Amino acid sequence: MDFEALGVTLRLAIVTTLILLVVAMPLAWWLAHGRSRWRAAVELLTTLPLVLPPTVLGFYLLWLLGPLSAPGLVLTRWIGHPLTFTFNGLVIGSVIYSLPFAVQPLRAGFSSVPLDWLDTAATLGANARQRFWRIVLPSSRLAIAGAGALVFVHTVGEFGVVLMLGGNIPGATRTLSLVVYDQVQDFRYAAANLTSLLLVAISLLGLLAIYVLRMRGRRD
Amino acid sequence: MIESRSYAAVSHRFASSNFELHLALDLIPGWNVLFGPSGSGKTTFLRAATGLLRPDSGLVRVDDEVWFDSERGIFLPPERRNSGYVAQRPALFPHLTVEENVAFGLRLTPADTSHRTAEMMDLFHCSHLASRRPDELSGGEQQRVALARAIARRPKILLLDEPFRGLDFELRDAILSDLESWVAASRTPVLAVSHDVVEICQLGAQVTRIAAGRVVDSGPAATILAPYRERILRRLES
Repeated sequence: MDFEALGVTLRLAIVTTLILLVVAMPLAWWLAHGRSRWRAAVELLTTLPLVLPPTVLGFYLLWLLGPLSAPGLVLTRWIGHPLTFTFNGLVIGSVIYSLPFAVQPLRAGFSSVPLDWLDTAATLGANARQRFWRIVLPSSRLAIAGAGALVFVHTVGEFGVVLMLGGNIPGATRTLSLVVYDQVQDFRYAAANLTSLLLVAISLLGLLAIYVLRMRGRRD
Repeated sequence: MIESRSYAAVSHRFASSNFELHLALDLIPGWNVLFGPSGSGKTTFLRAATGLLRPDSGLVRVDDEVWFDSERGIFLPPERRNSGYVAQRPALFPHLTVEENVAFGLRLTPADTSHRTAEMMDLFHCSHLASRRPDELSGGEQQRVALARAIARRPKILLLDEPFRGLDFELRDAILSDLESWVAASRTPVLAVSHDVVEICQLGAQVTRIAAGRVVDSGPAATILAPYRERILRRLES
């Protein structure tokens, strides 16, 4: 068992989940309740990673974050090294790749918060921040937990973006799904089976969490 | 010449429906009733008074405090207006107990919050429901809690948007009598809107009849509701 790859995989999944919950919440709220005419265009963009081949997304991110593009060059000069083939670069890729998996359930959860609750809270003296913390968050807790579980499981199973952007560097960007690929390439089927079983177990646990949350949501 | 300490004048046009609202009311301490058919602009007027809607122009002054003045560019958001608002649906927060709902708007010390919450639940006879969640309450109980929550902050004005809709005559009468004791003691202006003539008979006091966004007539309930006498009697008999 490649525990180093297991560590990288879990670290990537946890960091991506935490970042996405923070980033996706205001975005999902805006998509659910905003009135801007740009809403449809932004929704389309956030959904794009869902249908785009991961290798295509990985290729463009490799170009964008690497020193061959203008933004990548600026970024490289600013932080002193390219973000490609690093763990941080991988996190950026994972955040973009898993964005729809956070935004869609959050948006559905936020849409189900009736606006008259927020109106009433406002007339009771709660400002926008208090309305979010005291009404929206507790009312959407199952959607938030579901989005977190979905992003975590999805990031654990990532392959295309990780391979393109991370470069399969042991201890830095090599995740369990890349280990399976390498083991199969080396005809080590028993080891590949063991690693795959671990990924299946993590995915099943994640799906179980989502299922339990949905059941609780229906009961509530 | 405006004499009362509370006054609301609202002009608003909805571009999508071409509906125009032009209403001005002096709000006296006690009951003020806005009466009119559905779609006549009653709810819009209330939402403008609470600050949930920013009207095109007008003036909202409550207890000599200006909440909205389009000429002077003043607009206080709802959270900065001390108004109590109860909508058609009680909009109780489902993740909070009755006690937590009533205490939601209070910004007092824990001891004072607890005292005020108990006082309000007592007033509306819902102390025995303190630890229950909204989905465990009947429609009448939910309305009692919504009213207790709205007046717990001791608002300068209470705005009621058909809050007794769907409740039977006796239940409505019981809740109104609880509310009446607070209104009489606090001398707070209450602006209630309704399209139900029987409900308005129960609310009484000053009635302003509106249609299509404009005032038709205004006066004591007995005068304004005189043309509806037959209908009221039929409803009461039934």
